[in-house]
Amino acid sequence: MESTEAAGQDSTTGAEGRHGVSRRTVLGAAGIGVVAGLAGGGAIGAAVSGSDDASSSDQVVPFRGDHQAGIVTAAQDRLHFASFDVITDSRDALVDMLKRWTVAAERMTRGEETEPGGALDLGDYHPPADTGEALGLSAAHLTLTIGFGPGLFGPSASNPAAKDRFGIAHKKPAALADLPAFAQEKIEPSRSYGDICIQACADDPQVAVHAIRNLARMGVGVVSVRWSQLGFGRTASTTKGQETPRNMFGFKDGTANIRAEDTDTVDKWVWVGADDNPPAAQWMTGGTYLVARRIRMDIEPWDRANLLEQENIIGRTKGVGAPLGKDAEFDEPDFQITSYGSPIIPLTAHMRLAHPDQNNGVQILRRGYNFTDGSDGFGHLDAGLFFIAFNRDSFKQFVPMQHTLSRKDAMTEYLIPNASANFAVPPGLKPGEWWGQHLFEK
Amino acid sequence: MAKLSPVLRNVVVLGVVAATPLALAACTEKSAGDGAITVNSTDDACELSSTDLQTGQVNFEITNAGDKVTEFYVYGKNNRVLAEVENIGPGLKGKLGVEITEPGTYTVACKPGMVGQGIRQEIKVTGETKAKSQAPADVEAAKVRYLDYVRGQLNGFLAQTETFTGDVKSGNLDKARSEFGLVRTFYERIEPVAESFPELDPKIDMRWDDTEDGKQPFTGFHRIERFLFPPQASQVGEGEGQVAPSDAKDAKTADTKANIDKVADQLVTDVKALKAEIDAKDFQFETQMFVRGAQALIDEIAKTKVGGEEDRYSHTDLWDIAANIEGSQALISQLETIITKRDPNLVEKINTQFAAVSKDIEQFRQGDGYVSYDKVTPEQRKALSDKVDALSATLSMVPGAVMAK
Repeated sequence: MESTEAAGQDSTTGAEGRHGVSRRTVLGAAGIGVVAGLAGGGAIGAAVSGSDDASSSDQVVPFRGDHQAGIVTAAQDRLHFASFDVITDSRDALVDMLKRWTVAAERMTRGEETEPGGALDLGDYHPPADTGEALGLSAAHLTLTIGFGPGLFGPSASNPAAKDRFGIAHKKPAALADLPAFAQEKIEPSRSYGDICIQACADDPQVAVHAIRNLARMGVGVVSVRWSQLGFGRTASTTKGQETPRNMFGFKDGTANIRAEDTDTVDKWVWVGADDNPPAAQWMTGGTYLVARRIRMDIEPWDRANLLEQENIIGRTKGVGAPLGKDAEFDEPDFQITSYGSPIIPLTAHMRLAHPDQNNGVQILRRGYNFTDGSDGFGHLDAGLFFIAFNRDSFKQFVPMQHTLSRKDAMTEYLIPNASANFAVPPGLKPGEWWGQHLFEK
Repeated sequence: MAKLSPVLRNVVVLGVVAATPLALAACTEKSAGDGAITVNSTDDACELSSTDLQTGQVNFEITNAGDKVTEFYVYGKNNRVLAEVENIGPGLKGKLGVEITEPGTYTVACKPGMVGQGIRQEIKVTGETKAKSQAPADVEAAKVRYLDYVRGQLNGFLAQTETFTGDVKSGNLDKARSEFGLVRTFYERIEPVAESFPELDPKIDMRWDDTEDGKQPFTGFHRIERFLFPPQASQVGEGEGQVAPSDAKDAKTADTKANIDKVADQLVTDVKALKAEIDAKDFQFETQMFVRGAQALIDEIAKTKVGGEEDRYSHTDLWDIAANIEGSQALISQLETIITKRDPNLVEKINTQFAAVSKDIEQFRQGDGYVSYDKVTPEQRKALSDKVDALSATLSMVPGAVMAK
């Protein structure tokens, strides 16, 4: 599946090279002598012997390339998404942090500590520079994807009083703005918006959490976590090799998604082109926009809806995920067929309204995750879909589609979108480059 | 308030213990293991492989052969805890390294079940008096200067406590209420030292949460605070900074004048005891706690104060927060020349961040004191918390800088 990466990734590593020590090597060499020795060979020893012996290099997604990893990369199983407010007015401090983040991020995607020996070897009087909970774990296909929010450039809808603290207002791409209000949503500002986002995806939740935790730790004083979200169970397939997963309603989700292999489609709908922006915003060419929406699902009422109603709301069968009136998942939906005068796929079905055929051919690359944040005070599951989508212009692609859905989609009755954000995701890094370099360099 | 110092609290690793509370010579300690005194802790015995020891680095390896979770303590003079390991589960081992510089008689204890005095016995330490090898001389000198500051604060603390409790007892309650923020200032400035007294600190500074829902006696400043600022119905709830329903209920019946007078007398007794301990010539303030002290003070803010739970009845938290910052600055000022020598950029960063935090606090000034913390909005608390976190992260680099040879 990793071959799909080749589309946009060159295989060069950055200035840091491949000489870093992997987390496993660190434990094997130094860790056991010190930690397990003191601990009498307890849990840590078990963790080491329990880890697989396969080289972790086959679980490494290249960090650098024409586009950032974590977009058309085959969707991993787990997510930790974090949105940060920048709390300093110092451009130098922000740039310094982005440079340090880049080095640490690239190392972590290779399965290494944030810095060599960071977890164990800095001595008794230093806080470890790596928090250590990923020691002994593989890279787990970790990808770290950065995006910049509208507030970083000055006033935005969510923060009209913001100033252009870093002198980059003129570089703000036209398509970067807070999303408008949609019908039927209850947006909570305390888990929406933000100046910088990091999407960490991995096949191991601990690896994803470790990455976000360490970046947040390194960013203290420069950024402050505004909100974050854990996700599990990818709710979309982004490559043809992946089976379509199921969402929390129990339905296959993402059958009609853009696939990485369809490079023409990806180029057309995902990557920002040079013609999209004036010269000052060319730093976005090859980038994309990330829409994040936390969509709580009314799980218990849904579970009481009968199967026919569920299928009519979705527009597909619950079993194989075939369009209503068809047999197999990937059969083309026929929106014309009727039964006793009514469309087989109801006019309000989610699949119909979201389908490119109903949106002037517009597509987006969905890459969301299921989430469950325990239960609320009524004993109801606080669960749903953490929707993530990438598109070339959120206001031309996602927004019109969402307006349609929020007004007409029968599923809306069971959804409460309560968080919303839009970020500009710059293109990938060339060797030696750092996150945000082309945005912040004069 | 914290029952245990930060150093003592950090000893548990994956349920197995690798403690070096006093082990400033921890680099030598790592090679130990052979030569360690083995301790076999059962539910009714505490057997040491030897009770005759030599001065210098002493290592204990504790095996819990009992059915209860156990702890192991080493006590110095006046029953002061020199070192301890906590939470050694049945069947597990713990390690403890302690540097004993003076020959003499010491006490050790196993505490199966982690309660009470434990199973105690004396150990004899012979050999030459050893200089504490671990800290560079300039750090030791800074510590001596810092202790002068601490003792000065304690003079003010005792005087203010006597005035405050006098007003409480004589019924000058408005005056007592106006003094509550100030009297705590002295204590909050010297918390790293005060907290090294695991018996006195809780008595002086415990909160309702430490009473196991009223099972343990509720003493000290916060008990008197509750009497002076009786919980209102609107303050009662389970949220952060709110007054627990059981707490409010207890206040209604337990906070009588007679009870509070007793608490006030006890508080003066405890403060005097604390002062006597720290004034004593042989008072030892551990270097590890000293070099981490500036950060520990700031972490106090992050842990219990930005959320408003410390002074939940009076909402005088900003006094405490300001005092923690002042105390932290006072400690750092004693180390400043040392840090400058080894890492000039670090000093600059520390000073900048102290200034930022202080400026943030200043906006809440009102007369001689501060606005009630319940008037501070969630956004303002978050902004303060961000600055406190950043300062703490920078101060966490201080031990590494000053202990570098």
